[in-house]
Amino acid sequence: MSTATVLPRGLVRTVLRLHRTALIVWAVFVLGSVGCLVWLTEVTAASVQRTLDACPGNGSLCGIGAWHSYSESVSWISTFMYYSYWAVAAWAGGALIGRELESGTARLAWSQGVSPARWLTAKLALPALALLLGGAVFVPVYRWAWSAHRELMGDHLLFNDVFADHGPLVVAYGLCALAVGTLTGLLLGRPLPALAISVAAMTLLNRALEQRRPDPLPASAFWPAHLTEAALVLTAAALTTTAAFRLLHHRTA
Amino acid sequence: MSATTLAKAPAAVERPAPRGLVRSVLRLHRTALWIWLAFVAFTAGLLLWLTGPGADATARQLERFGYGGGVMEAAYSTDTLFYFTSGAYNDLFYDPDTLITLASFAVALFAGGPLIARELESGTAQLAWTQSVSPARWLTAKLAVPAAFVVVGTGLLTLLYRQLWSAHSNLLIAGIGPRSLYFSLGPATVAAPLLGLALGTLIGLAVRRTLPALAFSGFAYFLVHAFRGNHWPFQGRYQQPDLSSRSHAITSTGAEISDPGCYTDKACLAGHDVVRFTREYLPSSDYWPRQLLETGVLLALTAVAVALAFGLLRRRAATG
Repeated sequence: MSTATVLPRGLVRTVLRLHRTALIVWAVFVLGSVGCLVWLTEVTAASVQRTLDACPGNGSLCGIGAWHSYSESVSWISTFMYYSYWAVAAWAGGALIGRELESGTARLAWSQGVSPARWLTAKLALPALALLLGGAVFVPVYRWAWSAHRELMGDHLLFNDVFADHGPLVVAYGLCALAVGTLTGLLLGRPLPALAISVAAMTLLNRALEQRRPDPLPASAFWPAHLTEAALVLTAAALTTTAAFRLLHHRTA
Repeated sequence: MSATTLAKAPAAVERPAPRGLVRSVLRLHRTALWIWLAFVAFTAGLLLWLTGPGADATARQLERFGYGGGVMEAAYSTDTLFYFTSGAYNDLFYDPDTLITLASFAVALFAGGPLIARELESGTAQLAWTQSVSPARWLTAKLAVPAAFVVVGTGLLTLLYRQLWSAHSNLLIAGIGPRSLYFSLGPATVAAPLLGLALGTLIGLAVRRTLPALAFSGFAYFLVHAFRGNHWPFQGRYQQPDLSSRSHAITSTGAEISDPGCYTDKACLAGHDVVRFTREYLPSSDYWPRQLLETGVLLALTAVAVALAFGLLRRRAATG
Protein backbone atom coordinates (compact mmCIF):
# COMPACT_ATOMS: atom_id res chain seq x y z
CA MET A 1 0.00 0.00 0.00
CA SER A 2 2.61 2.54 1.07
CA THR A 3 4.94 1.24 -1.64
CA ALA A 4 2.31 2.14 -4.21
CA THR A 5 2.11 5.74 -3.00
CA VAL A 6 5.88 6.32 -2.84
CA LEU A 7 6.75 4.27 -5.88
CA PRO A 8 4.67 4.12 -9.03
CA ARG A 9 3.72 0.58 -9.93
CA GLY A 10 5.42 0.86 -13.31
CA LEU A 11 8.77 1.66 -11.68
CA VAL A 12 8.43 -1.30 -9.34
CA ARG A 13 7.67 -3.56 -12.29
CA THR A 14 10.64 -2.19 -14.27
CA VAL A 15 13.09 -2.80 -11.45
CA LEU A 16 11.74 -6.31 -10.87
CA ARG A 17 11.91 -7.09 -14.58
CA LEU A 18 15.42 -5.70 -15.06
CA HIS A 19 16.82 -7.64 -12.11
CA ARG A 20 14.67 -10.76 -12.38
CA THR A 21 17.72 -13.04 -12.70
CA ALA A 22 19.08 -11.79 -9.39
CA LEU A 23 15.67 -12.16 -7.77
CA ILE A 24 15.33 -15.73 -9.03
CA VAL A 25 18.86 -16.63 -7.89
CA TRP A 26 18.16 -15.22 -4.43
CA ALA A 27 14.82 -17.02 -4.13
CA VAL A 28 16.33 -20.33 -5.27
CA PHE A 29 19.24 -19.87 -2.88
CA VAL A 30 17.05 -19.12 0.15
CA LEU A 31 14.44 -21.78 -0.57
CA GLY A 32 17.12 -24.31 -1.50
CA SER A 33 18.99 -23.66 1.76
CA VAL A 34 15.81 -23.97 3.78
CA GLY A 35 14.81 -27.15 1.95
CA CYS A 36 18.25 -28.69 2.51
CA LEU A 37 18.11 -27.82 6.21
CA VAL A 38 14.71 -29.46 6.62
CA TRP A 39 15.88 -32.56 4.71
CA LEU A 40 19.11 -32.79 6.72
CA THR A 41 17.31 -32.41 10.03
CA GLU A 42 14.39 -34.70 9.33
CA VAL A 43 15.89 -37.38 7.08
CA THR A 44 19.72 -37.36 7.05
CA ALA A 45 20.13 -36.95 10.81
CA ALA A 46 17.97 -39.99 11.52
CA SER A 47 19.94 -42.16 9.12
CA VAL A 48 23.25 -40.93 10.56
CA GLN A 49 21.92 -41.78 13.99
CA ARG A 50 21.04 -45.31 12.81
CA THR A 51 24.55 -45.75 11.36
CA LEU A 52 26.10 -44.60 14.63
CA ASP A 53 23.81 -46.85 16.69
CA ALA A 54 24.92 -49.84 14.60
CA CYS A 55 28.57 -49.14 15.42
CA PRO A 56 30.36 -51.11 18.11
CA GLY A 57 30.67 -48.87 21.17
CA ASN A 58 34.45 -48.94 21.39
CA GLY A 59 35.22 -45.41 20.28
CA SER A 60 36.38 -46.43 16.80
CA LEU A 61 36.01 -44.16 13.77
CA CYS A 62 32.94 -46.13 12.65
CA GLY A 63 30.23 -43.87 11.25
CA ILE A 64 32.45 -40.82 11.04
CA GLY A 65 31.79 -40.49 7.30
CA ALA A 66 28.02 -40.35 7.79
CA TRP A 67 28.37 -37.99 10.72
CA HIS A 68 30.70 -35.78 8.71
CA SER A 69 28.34 -35.58 5.73
CA TYR A 70 25.60 -34.24 8.01
CA SER A 71 27.59 -31.68 9.99
CA GLU A 72 29.55 -30.51 6.95
CA SER A 73 26.36 -29.83 4.95
CA VAL A 74 24.75 -27.81 7.73
CA SER A 75 27.99 -25.82 8.12
CA TRP A 76 28.19 -25.08 4.39
CA ILE A 77 24.65 -23.74 4.33
CA SER A 78 25.29 -21.43 7.26
CA THR A 79 28.61 -20.27 5.75
CA PHE A 80 27.00 -19.55 2.38
CA MET A 81 24.21 -17.53 3.98
CA TYR A 82 26.65 -15.56 6.14
CA TYR A 83 28.84 -14.62 3.18
CA SER A 84 25.90 -13.93 0.86
CA TYR A 85 26.59 -10.27 1.70
CA TRP A 86 29.57 -10.55 -0.70
CA ALA A 87 27.21 -11.45 -3.53
CA VAL A 88 24.84 -8.63 -2.50
CA ALA A 89 27.66 -6.06 -2.42
CA ALA A 90 29.02 -7.23 -5.77
CA TRP A 91 25.59 -7.24 -7.37
CA ALA A 92 24.58 -3.83 -5.97
CA GLY A 93 27.84 -2.18 -7.06
CA GLY A 94 27.94 -3.97 -10.40
CA ALA A 95 24.55 -4.86 -11.85
CA LEU A 96 22.15 -2.70 -9.82
CA ILE A 97 23.91 0.66 -10.12
CA GLY A 98 27.29 0.60 -11.89
CA ARG A 99 26.09 -1.06 -15.10
CA GLU A 100 23.02 1.18 -15.31
CA LEU A 101 25.16 4.31 -15.02
CA GLU A 102 27.79 3.12 -17.47
CA SER A 103 25.29 2.06 -20.12
CA GLY A 104 23.27 5.25 -19.69
CA THR A 105 20.06 3.36 -18.85
CA ALA A 106 19.81 5.29 -15.58
CA ARG A 107 19.98 8.69 -17.28
CA LEU A 108 17.42 7.53 -19.82
CA ALA A 109 15.06 6.59 -16.97
CA TRP A 110 15.57 9.99 -15.29
CA SER A 111 14.59 11.71 -18.54
CA GLN A 112 11.39 9.62 -18.74
CA GLY A 113 9.63 11.23 -15.80
CA VAL A 114 11.19 9.09 -13.07
CA SER A 115 13.00 11.43 -10.69
CA PRO A 116 16.51 10.26 -9.69
CA ALA A 117 15.49 10.05 -6.01
CA ARG A 118 12.54 7.82 -6.84
CA TRP A 119 14.69 5.70 -9.12
CA LEU A 120 17.19 5.15 -6.30
CA THR A 121 14.39 4.51 -3.79
CA ALA A 122 13.01 1.74 -6.00
CA LYS A 123 16.50 0.36 -6.63
CA LEU A 124 17.09 0.13 -2.87
CA ALA A 125 13.64 -0.71 -1.50
CA LEU A 126 12.87 -3.77 -3.61
CA PRO A 127 16.19 -5.60 -3.01
CA ALA A 128 15.95 -4.63 0.69
CA LEU A 129 12.50 -6.20 0.81
CA ALA A 130 13.84 -9.36 -0.83
CA LEU A 131 16.69 -9.52 1.70
CA LEU A 132 14.28 -9.05 4.62
CA LEU A 133 11.93 -11.73 3.34
CA GLY A 134 14.83 -14.11 2.73
CA GLY A 135 16.12 -13.56 6.26
CA ALA A 136 12.65 -13.96 7.74
CA VAL A 137 12.36 -17.38 6.08
CA PHE A 138 15.92 -18.56 6.66
CA VAL A 139 16.70 -17.51 10.24
CA PRO A 140 13.87 -19.37 12.05
CA VAL A 141 14.45 -22.56 10.04
CA TYR A 142 18.20 -22.36 10.62
CA ARG A 143 17.75 -21.83 14.38
CA TRP A 144 15.47 -24.86 14.53
CA ALA A 145 17.81 -27.06 12.42
CA TRP A 146 20.92 -25.94 14.30
CA SER A 147 19.53 -26.86 17.70
CA ALA A 148 17.83 -30.09 16.59
CA HIS A 149 20.85 -32.45 16.61
CA ARG A 150 23.57 -30.79 18.64
CA GLU A 151 25.25 -34.16 19.32
CA LEU A 152 25.92 -34.57 15.59
CA MET A 153 27.44 -31.12 15.11
CA GLY A 154 30.95 -29.96 15.90
CA ASP A 155 30.30 -26.23 15.77
CA HIS A 156 29.62 -23.59 18.36
CA LEU A 157 27.33 -20.58 18.72
CA LEU A 158 30.39 -18.32 18.55
CA PHE A 159 31.56 -19.49 15.12
CA ASN A 160 31.40 -16.39 12.94
CA ASP A 161 28.68 -17.65 10.60
CA VAL A 162 26.63 -19.42 13.29
CA PHE A 163 26.69 -16.28 15.45
CA ALA A 164 25.29 -14.09 12.67
CA ASP A 165 22.80 -16.59 11.24
CA HIS A 166 21.04 -16.85 14.59
CA GLY A 167 19.22 -13.54 14.25
CA PRO A 168 18.78 -10.25 12.40
CA LEU A 169 22.54 -9.72 12.07
CA VAL A 170 22.74 -11.76 8.88
CA VAL A 171 20.02 -9.56 7.31
CA ALA A 172 21.76 -6.42 8.56
CA TYR A 173 24.93 -7.43 6.69
CA GLY A 174 22.91 -7.94 3.51
CA LEU A 175 21.25 -4.51 3.83
CA CYS A 176 24.58 -2.83 4.55
CA ALA A 177 26.13 -4.54 1.52
CA LEU A 178 23.26 -3.25 -0.61
CA ALA A 179 23.86 0.31 0.62
CA VAL A 180 27.65 0.12 0.25
CA GLY A 181 27.38 -1.35 -3.26
CA THR A 182 24.93 1.40 -4.22
CA LEU A 183 27.18 4.17 -2.93
CA THR A 184 30.32 2.84 -4.64
CA GLY A 185 28.35 2.24 -7.84
CA LEU A 186 27.17 5.87 -7.80
CA LEU A 187 30.64 7.15 -6.94
CA LEU A 188 32.51 5.21 -9.62
CA GLY A 189 29.87 4.79 -12.30
CA ARG A 190 31.59 1.66 -13.65
CA PRO A 191 30.50 -1.85 -12.72
CA LEU A 192 33.77 -3.74 -12.28
CA PRO A 193 35.67 -1.28 -10.05
CA ALA A 194 32.48 -0.64 -8.06
CA LEU A 195 32.00 -4.38 -7.59
CA ALA A 196 35.57 -4.91 -6.39
CA ILE A 197 35.60 -1.94 -4.02
CA SER A 198 32.21 -2.62 -2.46
CA VAL A 199 33.16 -6.26 -1.74
CA ALA A 200 36.47 -5.11 -0.25
CA ALA A 201 34.80 -2.43 1.90
CA MET A 202 32.19 -4.86 3.23
CA THR A 203 34.87 -7.45 4.00
CA LEU A 204 36.85 -4.89 5.99
CA LEU A 205 33.75 -3.83 7.94
CA ASN A 206 32.85 -7.47 8.62
CA ARG A 207 36.37 -8.39 9.76
CA ALA A 208 36.57 -5.33 12.02
CA LEU A 209 33.26 -6.19 13.69
CA GLU A 210 34.19 -9.87 14.02
CA GLN A 211 37.30 -8.78 15.91
CA ARG A 212 35.23 -7.12 18.58
CA ARG A 213 32.94 -10.12 19.20
CA PRO A 214 33.46 -11.61 22.68
CA ASP A 215 35.58 -14.77 22.94
CA PRO A 216 33.97 -16.73 25.79
CA LEU A 217 30.26 -16.05 25.91
CA PRO A 218 27.62 -17.25 28.33
CA ALA A 219 24.32 -18.05 26.59
CA SER A 220 22.64 -15.07 28.27
CA ALA A 221 25.14 -12.67 26.67
CA PHE A 222 24.38 -13.83 23.13
CA TRP A 223 21.52 -11.45 22.35
CA PRO A 224 23.19 -8.23 23.63
CA ALA A 225 26.32 -9.02 21.58
CA HIS A 226 24.30 -10.03 18.51
CA LEU A 227 21.95 -7.06 18.59
CA THR A 228 24.73 -4.53 19.29
CA GLU A 229 26.57 -5.69 16.20
CA ALA A 230 23.34 -5.65 14.17
CA ALA A 231 22.70 -2.06 15.34
CA LEU A 232 26.21 -1.02 14.29
CA VAL A 233 25.84 -2.60 10.87
CA LEU A 234 22.42 -1.02 10.34
CA THR A 235 23.79 2.38 11.37
CA ALA A 236 26.52 1.98 8.76
CA ALA A 237 23.84 1.02 6.23
CA ALA A 238 21.73 4.08 7.09
CA LEU A 239 24.69 6.46 6.84
CA THR A 240 25.75 4.96 3.53
CA THR A 241 22.22 5.22 2.13
CA THR A 242 22.00 8.87 3.16
CA ALA A 243 25.33 9.53 1.48
CA ALA A 244 24.10 7.80 -1.67
CA PHE A 245 20.98 9.98 -1.88
CA ARG A 246 23.03 13.13 -1.21
CA LEU A 247 25.51 12.17 -3.91
CA LEU A 248 22.78 11.45 -6.43
CA HIS A 249 21.10 14.77 -5.63
CA HIS A 250 24.38 16.64 -6.22
CA ARG A 251 25.09 14.77 -9.44
CA THR A 252 21.68 15.37 -10.97
CA ALA A 253 20.95 18.87 -9.61
CA MET B 1 75.25 -11.30 -45.88
CA SER B 2 72.53 -10.54 -48.36
CA ALA B 3 71.28 -14.08 -48.08
CA THR B 4 70.68 -13.72 -44.35
CA THR B 5 68.97 -10.38 -44.87
CA LEU B 6 66.73 -11.93 -47.44
CA ALA B 7 66.01 -14.88 -45.23
CA LYS B 8 65.18 -12.62 -42.33
CA ALA B 9 62.99 -10.19 -44.18
CA PRO B 10 59.75 -12.25 -44.31
CA ALA B 11 60.12 -13.18 -40.64
CA ALA B 12 60.47 -9.52 -39.72
CA VAL B 13 57.16 -8.79 -41.42
CA GLU B 14 55.48 -11.59 -39.53
CA ARG B 15 56.93 -10.85 -36.12
CA PRO B 16 55.61 -7.42 -35.13
CA ALA B 17 52.04 -8.68 -35.11
CA PRO B 18 52.34 -10.97 -32.06
CA ARG B 19 54.53 -8.46 -30.26
CA GLY B 20 51.96 -5.74 -30.92
CA LEU B 21 49.25 -8.09 -29.77
CA VAL B 22 51.08 -8.80 -26.51
CA ARG B 23 51.60 -5.09 -26.01
CA SER B 24 47.94 -4.35 -26.62
CA VAL B 25 46.87 -7.04 -24.13
CA LEU B 26 49.23 -5.54 -21.53
CA ARG B 27 47.99 -2.04 -22.27
CA LEU B 28 44.31 -2.94 -22.18
CA HIS B 29 44.64 -4.74 -18.86
CA ARG B 30 47.22 -2.47 -17.26
CA THR B 31 45.15 -1.91 -14.11
CA ALA B 32 45.03 -5.66 -13.53
CA LEU B 33 48.74 -5.85 -14.30
CA TRP B 34 49.59 -3.21 -11.70
CA ILE B 35 47.35 -4.85 -9.10
CA TRP B 36 49.05 -8.20 -9.77
CA LEU B 37 52.54 -6.73 -9.51
CA ALA B 38 51.59 -4.93 -6.28
CA PHE B 39 50.19 -8.17 -4.85
CA VAL B 40 53.34 -10.14 -5.75
CA ALA B 41 55.65 -7.45 -4.38
CA PHE B 42 53.70 -7.06 -1.14
CA THR B 43 53.36 -10.79 -0.51
CA ALA B 44 57.01 -11.43 -1.35
CA GLY B 45 57.97 -8.66 1.09
CA LEU B 46 55.78 -10.17 3.79
CA LEU B 47 57.31 -13.63 3.22
CA LEU B 48 60.84 -12.24 3.38
CA TRP B 49 60.04 -10.33 6.55
CA LEU B 50 58.55 -13.47 8.13
CA THR B 51 61.66 -15.41 7.12
CA GLY B 52 63.94 -12.71 8.52
CA PRO B 53 63.33 -10.14 11.26
CA GLY B 54 59.67 -11.03 11.82
CA ALA B 55 60.59 -14.41 13.30
CA ASP B 56 63.31 -13.26 15.68
CA ALA B 57 61.28 -12.72 18.83
CA THR B 58 59.30 -15.96 18.54
CA ALA B 59 62.44 -17.94 17.63
CA ARG B 60 64.11 -16.61 20.79
CA GLN B 61 61.04 -17.66 22.82
CA LEU B 62 61.25 -21.18 21.37
CA GLU B 63 64.94 -21.41 22.13
CA ARG B 64 64.46 -20.30 25.73
CA PHE B 65 61.25 -22.05 26.76
CA GLY B 66 60.49 -24.74 24.18
CA TYR B 67 57.12 -25.42 22.55
CA GLY B 68 54.78 -25.05 25.51
CA GLY B 69 56.32 -22.01 27.18
CA GLY B 70 57.65 -20.36 24.04
CA VAL B 71 55.66 -21.07 20.89
CA MET B 72 52.24 -21.50 22.51
CA GLU B 73 52.78 -18.51 24.76
CA ALA B 74 53.82 -16.35 21.80
CA ALA B 75 50.91 -17.46 19.64
CA TYR B 76 48.23 -16.87 22.25
CA SER B 77 49.76 -13.69 23.58
CA THR B 78 47.15 -10.94 23.48
CA ASP B 79 49.74 -8.24 23.89
CA THR B 80 48.68 -6.10 20.94
CA LEU B 81 51.60 -3.73 21.45
CA PHE B 82 53.87 -6.42 20.05
CA TYR B 83 51.30 -7.78 17.64
CA PHE B 84 53.51 -7.36 14.59
CA THR B 85 56.75 -8.51 16.17
CA SER B 86 56.08 -11.57 18.28
CA GLY B 87 52.54 -11.99 19.54
CA ALA B 88 50.84 -13.16 16.39
CA TYR B 89 53.67 -14.74 14.41
CA ASN B 90 51.61 -17.91 14.25
CA ASP B 91 48.77 -15.95 12.59
CA LEU B 92 50.95 -13.86 10.32
CA PHE B 93 52.58 -17.03 8.99
CA TYR B 94 49.31 -17.96 7.25
CA ASP B 95 48.56 -14.49 5.84
CA PRO B 96 50.53 -15.02 2.60
CA ASP B 97 48.48 -18.19 2.06
CA THR B 98 45.26 -16.19 2.42
CA LEU B 99 46.58 -13.58 -0.01
CA ILE B 100 47.57 -16.25 -2.57
CA THR B 101 44.11 -17.82 -2.30
CA LEU B 102 42.43 -14.44 -2.81
CA ALA B 103 44.68 -13.74 -5.78
CA SER B 104 43.79 -17.10 -7.36
CA PHE B 105 40.11 -16.20 -7.07
CA ALA B 106 40.88 -12.80 -8.56
CA VAL B 107 42.60 -14.47 -11.55
CA ALA B 108 39.49 -16.55 -12.29
CA LEU B 109 37.20 -13.52 -11.92
CA PHE B 110 39.49 -11.39 -14.07
CA ALA B 111 39.57 -14.04 -16.82
CA GLY B 112 35.79 -14.40 -16.87
CA GLY B 113 34.99 -10.68 -16.63
CA PRO B 114 37.38 -8.05 -18.00
CA LEU B 115 39.69 -10.35 -19.99
CA ILE B 116 37.11 -12.09 -22.19
CA ALA B 117 33.43 -11.33 -21.57
CA ARG B 118 33.73 -7.54 -21.47
CA GLU B 119 35.63 -7.59 -24.76
CA LEU B 120 32.95 -9.72 -26.37
CA GLU B 121 30.10 -7.71 -24.85
CA SER B 122 31.50 -4.37 -25.95
CA GLY B 123 32.45 -5.71 -29.40
CA THR B 124 36.15 -4.86 -28.98
CA ALA B 125 37.05 -8.50 -29.59
CA GLN B 126 35.02 -8.74 -32.78
CA LEU B 127 36.64 -5.48 -33.94
CA ALA B 128 40.11 -6.92 -33.25
CA TRP B 129 39.27 -10.02 -35.31
CA THR B 130 38.55 -7.83 -38.35
CA GLN B 131 41.91 -6.03 -37.90
CA SER B 132 44.07 -8.94 -39.13
CA VAL B 133 44.28 -10.56 -35.69
CA SER B 134 42.80 -14.03 -36.09
CA PRO B 135 40.47 -15.12 -33.27
CA ALA B 136 42.81 -18.00 -32.35
CA ARG B 137 45.77 -15.64 -32.05
CA TRP B 138 43.71 -13.19 -30.07
CA LEU B 139 42.75 -15.91 -27.57
CA THR B 140 46.31 -17.24 -27.45
CA ALA B 141 47.59 -13.80 -26.45
CA LYS B 142 44.74 -13.35 -23.96
CA LEU B 143 45.69 -16.63 -22.30
CA ALA B 144 49.47 -16.65 -22.64
CA VAL B 145 50.20 -13.18 -21.26
CA PRO B 146 48.24 -13.56 -17.99
CA ALA B 147 49.43 -17.18 -17.67
CA ALA B 148 53.06 -16.03 -17.83
CA PHE B 149 52.46 -13.49 -15.06
CA VAL B 150 50.55 -16.02 -12.96
CA VAL B 151 53.25 -18.68 -13.29
CA VAL B 152 56.15 -16.33 -12.56
CA GLY B 153 54.35 -14.54 -9.70
CA THR B 154 52.87 -17.51 -7.84
CA GLY B 155 55.99 -19.59 -8.61
CA LEU B 156 58.18 -16.99 -6.91
CA LEU B 157 55.82 -16.74 -3.93
CA THR B 158 55.65 -20.53 -3.57
CA LEU B 159 59.44 -20.78 -3.53
CA LEU B 160 59.68 -18.06 -0.90
CA TYR B 161 56.97 -19.77 1.13
CA ARG B 162 58.77 -23.14 1.01
CA GLN B 163 61.89 -21.34 2.18
CA LEU B 164 59.95 -19.74 5.04
CA TRP B 165 58.53 -23.17 5.92
CA SER B 166 61.94 -24.77 6.20
CA ALA B 167 63.27 -21.82 8.19
CA HIS B 168 60.48 -21.27 10.72
CA SER B 169 57.67 -23.85 10.57
CA ASN B 170 58.91 -24.91 14.02
CA LEU B 171 57.32 -21.71 15.39
CA LEU B 172 53.79 -22.84 14.44
CA ILE B 173 51.17 -24.26 16.76
CA ALA B 174 50.77 -27.93 15.83
CA GLY B 175 47.51 -29.12 14.28
CA ILE B 176 45.54 -28.79 11.10
CA GLY B 177 47.03 -25.37 10.22
CA PRO B 178 50.65 -26.40 9.54
CA ARG B 179 49.51 -29.70 8.09
CA SER B 180 47.22 -28.28 5.42
CA LEU B 181 49.67 -25.47 4.60
CA TYR B 182 52.52 -27.97 4.17
CA PHE B 183 50.53 -30.23 1.86
CA SER B 184 49.05 -27.40 -0.22
CA LEU B 185 52.27 -25.49 -1.00
CA GLY B 186 54.03 -26.59 -4.15
CA PRO B 187 53.49 -26.88 -7.90
CA ALA B 188 49.74 -27.18 -7.27
CA THR B 189 49.77 -23.63 -5.83
CA VAL B 190 50.82 -22.46 -9.31
CA ALA B 191 48.55 -24.85 -11.22
CA ALA B 192 45.35 -23.85 -9.37
CA PRO B 193 45.21 -20.22 -10.61
CA LEU B 194 46.08 -21.45 -14.11
CA LEU B 195 42.97 -23.61 -14.00
CA GLY B 196 41.10 -20.52 -12.76
CA LEU B 197 42.36 -18.58 -15.78
CA ALA B 198 41.30 -21.34 -18.17
CA LEU B 199 37.87 -21.81 -16.56
CA GLY B 200 37.24 -18.05 -16.49
CA THR B 201 38.16 -17.80 -20.17
CA LEU B 202 35.88 -20.69 -21.10
CA ILE B 203 33.01 -19.20 -19.11
CA GLY B 204 33.62 -15.73 -20.56
CA LEU B 205 33.43 -17.14 -24.09
CA ALA B 206 30.33 -19.16 -23.27
CA VAL B 207 28.37 -16.44 -21.46
CA ARG B 208 29.66 -13.31 -23.30
CA ARG B 209 28.25 -10.94 -20.65
CA THR B 210 30.60 -9.42 -18.08
CA LEU B 211 28.71 -9.67 -14.81
CA PRO B 212 27.13 -13.12 -15.24
CA ALA B 213 30.51 -14.46 -16.46
CA LEU B 214 32.12 -13.00 -13.37
CA ALA B 215 29.60 -14.73 -11.10
CA PHE B 216 29.96 -18.10 -12.85
CA SER B 217 33.77 -17.90 -12.82
CA GLY B 218 33.74 -17.15 -9.11
CA PHE B 219 31.50 -20.15 -8.48
CA ALA B 220 33.61 -22.41 -10.72
CA TYR B 221 36.79 -21.45 -8.93
CA PHE B 222 35.09 -21.90 -5.59
CA LEU B 223 34.48 -25.53 -6.60
CA VAL B 224 38.14 -25.94 -7.58
CA HIS B 225 39.17 -24.46 -4.26
CA ALA B 226 36.79 -26.65 -2.28
CA PHE B 227 38.07 -29.79 -4.01
CA ARG B 228 41.66 -28.94 -3.16
CA GLY B 229 43.13 -29.67 0.27
CA ASN B 230 41.25 -32.07 2.45
CA HIS B 231 38.34 -32.35 0.05
CA TRP B 232 40.19 -33.64 -2.97
CA PRO B 233 37.91 -36.40 -4.31
CA PHE B 234 40.72 -38.72 -5.42
CA GLN B 235 41.88 -38.86 -1.83
CA GLY B 236 38.45 -39.85 -0.61
CA ARG B 237 38.60 -40.76 3.03
CA TYR B 238 42.38 -40.79 2.71
CA GLN B 239 42.97 -37.62 4.71
CA GLN B 240 46.23 -35.76 5.00
CA PRO B 241 48.45 -37.63 7.46
CA ASP B 242 49.66 -35.90 10.59
CA LEU B 243 52.97 -34.11 10.33
CA SER B 244 55.50 -35.44 12.78
CA SER B 245 57.64 -32.98 14.67
CA ARG B 246 60.70 -33.52 16.83
CA SER B 247 61.41 -31.46 19.94
CA HIS B 248 64.40 -31.57 22.20
CA ALA B 249 65.74 -29.76 25.20
CA ILE B 250 69.53 -29.37 25.18
CA THR B 251 71.55 -29.40 28.38
CA SER B 252 74.80 -27.55 29.10
CA THR B 253 76.75 -30.70 28.20
CA GLY B 254 75.06 -30.73 24.77
CA ALA B 255 72.94 -33.79 25.57
CA GLU B 256 69.43 -33.92 24.03
CA ILE B 257 66.74 -34.71 26.57
CA SER B 258 62.95 -34.58 26.26
CA ASP B 259 61.12 -31.42 27.29
CA PRO B 260 61.03 -31.40 31.14
CA GLY B 261 57.71 -29.49 31.05
CA CYS B 262 58.91 -26.46 32.96
CA TYR B 263 56.85 -24.02 30.87
CA THR B 264 58.36 -20.58 31.62
CA ASP B 265 59.75 -21.48 35.04
CA LYS B 266 63.43 -20.48 34.88
CA ALA B 267 64.39 -22.15 38.17
CA CYS B 268 62.89 -25.42 36.93
CA LEU B 269 64.80 -25.11 33.63
CA ALA B 270 68.03 -24.43 35.54
CA GLY B 271 67.29 -27.44 37.76
CA HIS B 272 67.09 -29.67 34.68
CA ASP B 273 70.22 -27.98 33.32
CA VAL B 274 68.36 -26.99 30.11
CA VAL B 275 70.14 -24.27 28.12
CA ARG B 276 68.04 -24.25 24.95
CA PHE B 277 65.28 -25.99 23.00
CA THR B 278 65.02 -27.14 19.38
CA ARG B 279 61.99 -28.19 17.37
CA GLU B 280 61.41 -29.13 13.75
CA TYR B 281 58.76 -30.60 11.45
CA LEU B 282 59.90 -33.71 9.64
CA PRO B 283 59.25 -33.91 5.89
CA SER B 284 56.49 -36.33 4.94
CA SER B 285 56.97 -39.01 2.29
CA ASP B 286 53.35 -38.32 1.29
CA TYR B 287 54.18 -34.81 0.15
CA TRP B 288 55.37 -35.40 -3.43
CA PRO B 289 52.83 -38.09 -4.40
CA ARG B 290 50.03 -35.79 -3.26
CA GLN B 291 51.44 -32.63 -4.82
CA LEU B 292 52.14 -34.33 -8.15
CA LEU B 293 48.74 -36.01 -8.28
CA GLU B 294 47.01 -32.74 -7.51
CA THR B 295 49.14 -30.76 -9.97
CA GLY B 296 48.57 -33.37 -12.67
CA VAL B 297 44.80 -33.27 -12.24
CA LEU B 298 44.71 -29.46 -12.15
CA LEU B 299 46.85 -29.17 -15.30
CA ALA B 300 44.82 -31.81 -17.13
CA LEU B 301 41.61 -29.92 -16.31
CA THR B 302 43.31 -26.71 -17.46
CA ALA B 303 44.19 -28.33 -20.78
CA VAL B 304 40.60 -29.53 -21.23
CA ALA B 305 39.21 -26.07 -20.44
CA VAL B 306 41.64 -24.39 -22.88
CA ALA B 307 40.77 -26.89 -25.62
CA LEU B 308 37.05 -26.29 -25.06
CA ALA B 309 37.65 -22.52 -25.11
CA PHE B 310 39.38 -22.70 -28.50
CA GLY B 311 36.63 -24.96 -29.85
CA LEU B 312 33.96 -22.55 -28.63
CA LEU B 313 35.86 -19.58 -30.06
CA ARG B 314 35.95 -21.18 -33.51
CA ARG B 315 32.18 -21.51 -33.38
CA ARG B 316 31.74 -17.93 -32.10
CA ALA B 317 34.02 -16.47 -34.77
CA ALA B 318 32.25 -18.44 -37.51
CA THR B 319 28.78 -17.32 -36.46
CA GLY B 320 29.88 -13.78 -35.63
